[in-house]
Amino acid sequence: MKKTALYEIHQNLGAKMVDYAGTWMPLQYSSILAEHEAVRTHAGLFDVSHMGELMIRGSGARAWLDHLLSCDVCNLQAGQVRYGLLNRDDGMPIDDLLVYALNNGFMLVINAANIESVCTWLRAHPDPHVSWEDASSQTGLIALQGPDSKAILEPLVAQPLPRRFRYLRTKLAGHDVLLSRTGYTGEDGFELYMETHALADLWTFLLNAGRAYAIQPAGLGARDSLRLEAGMPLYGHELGPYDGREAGLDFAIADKEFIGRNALAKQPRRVRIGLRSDARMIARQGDLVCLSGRVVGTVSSGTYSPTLKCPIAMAYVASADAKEAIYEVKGRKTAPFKRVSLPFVKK
Amino acid sequence: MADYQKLKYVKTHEWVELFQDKARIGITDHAQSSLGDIVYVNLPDVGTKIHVGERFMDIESVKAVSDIYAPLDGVVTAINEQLLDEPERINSEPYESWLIELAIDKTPEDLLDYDAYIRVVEEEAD
Repeated sequence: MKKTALYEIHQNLGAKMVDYAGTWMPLQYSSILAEHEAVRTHAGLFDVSHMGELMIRGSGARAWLDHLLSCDVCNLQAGQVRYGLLNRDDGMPIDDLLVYALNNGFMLVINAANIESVCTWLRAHPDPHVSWEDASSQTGLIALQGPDSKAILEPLVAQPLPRRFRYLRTKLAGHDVLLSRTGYTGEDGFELYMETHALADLWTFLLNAGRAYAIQPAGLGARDSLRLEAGMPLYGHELGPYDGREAGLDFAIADKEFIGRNALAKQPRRVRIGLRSDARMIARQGDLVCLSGRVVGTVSSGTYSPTLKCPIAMAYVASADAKEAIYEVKGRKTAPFKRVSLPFVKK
Repeated sequence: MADYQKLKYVKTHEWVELFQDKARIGITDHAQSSLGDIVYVNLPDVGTKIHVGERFMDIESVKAVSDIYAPLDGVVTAINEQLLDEPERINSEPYESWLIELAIDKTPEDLLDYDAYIRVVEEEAD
C-alpha cells in the first residue's frame, strides 16, 4: 500500500483514510456533504497525488501521441492542456486523461488505477523517436477548486492566472509549480503539480492562504459527488465498460486517425443519460434501468446530490430507449427516476 | 437522552435505552462513523412487531444502505420523525437520535454494558 507525502497531515486533520487503487487516500475529513458544499460555495483543497504523470519526449512525441490519443495533439501548443482518451484497437478506452504540451515534450496525467495498464500499452507501441518515463512517484498534485479559487491564488502568483485548459510555471512558497486551470468538480479551479518533497509545504501554504475564504480540505468522497453533479465520467463507471462515443464525449474525439477510431460507431447503440429522483433511494452502479418492467440499461454511477438534495445517477441505456421521460431503477428497491440533461449542476 | 455510558448495547452497534415497559433504540457513534453521511432513514411503521436479531429498518448513507437489527423483541410505538428531514443528526448526535420506541414485554438479560460494547468495537478493529 502506498501513501502520499501528505498522509500524516491528512491523519492530523482527522481524515478517514481508504485504500484507493493501492494508495491510502482521504475519503473525508469532516463530512462528504460539508466538503462538497464548501467547494460549491467557496473553496476546497484536494490531495490527488495518487494520480499518474508520464513525461514524453523526443522528436516523434507529438505524432506518436496524436496517433494514440483521441484528441488532437498536432495543434496543441505549449501552455495548453487537452482532455482525451487512450483507446484499444476495439475502441474501448484504456484511460481518460489530460495531455499537457510542455516546452520540451508532453505530460500525460492519468488515473491512479490505470497507471500500469497505460504504461503497458505505451510499451507495446514503441517509437524510435520517442522516450517516456513514469514520473508519478516524484510528482505531487493538489487541486484547489471552488468559486473563490481565483481570489485565493491571484495575490500569490506573480503572473496573471492561466485561462481554462491552460497552464503556466510559477513559484509558490519557494517551490516550482506547474499551475493549470483544470479540475474535476465543475467549478472554477486549479491543479498544481510539484515535486513530492514540496507537497507538505504547498498544502499548508494553500490552506492558510484560503483561510479567509473558509477553505476546507476535501476528500475523495466529495470529489466523486462533485464530478457526478458536473456530469463528468469516471473510468470504470462511465468509461471502460463503455467507449467515448457511448459516453457522449464527442468533443474529445477529433476528426483524424487514431488507434480505435474505426471501432467507434457514429451512432452508438448505447448512450449515457442523466437521471434524478424524488424518491428516497440512491441509485448505485449496477442497478438496472427499466421501462415497464423491461430492462433497458444499467446505472454507471449514482449518489445523493448535496446541491439538488435528491438522488442523481448516470446510466447507459439502449439508444432506442434513451428518450423516455421516466425510468424505473431497480436496486435493492425500485424507484422512478426522471431523465434529465447533463450536467446536473450548471455553472 | 443522558449518558451513553449508562445505555445498553448489542454487537450490531445499536444502543438501547430502557425504561419501565418501553425501550428507545438508536445506533452508536461507531456505527454512524462507519456509515458516513446519512441521507435517508427508512423507519418502520408504528405497530410493527420486531424480533431480536432481525433487520427492522435501514439507513442510507452516501456510501451504502445499511440494515439495522433489532436488539430486542417489541412493538414499535413511536418513530423519530425529525430524522426523516434531518437524518444528519444521527451523524452529529448518535446518542440523542433515537430511531424508534418499542413497547417491550420483558427486559432482556443479554444486552452489553458500555465497557463490554467497547471491547466488541476494539476486537472488530483487529
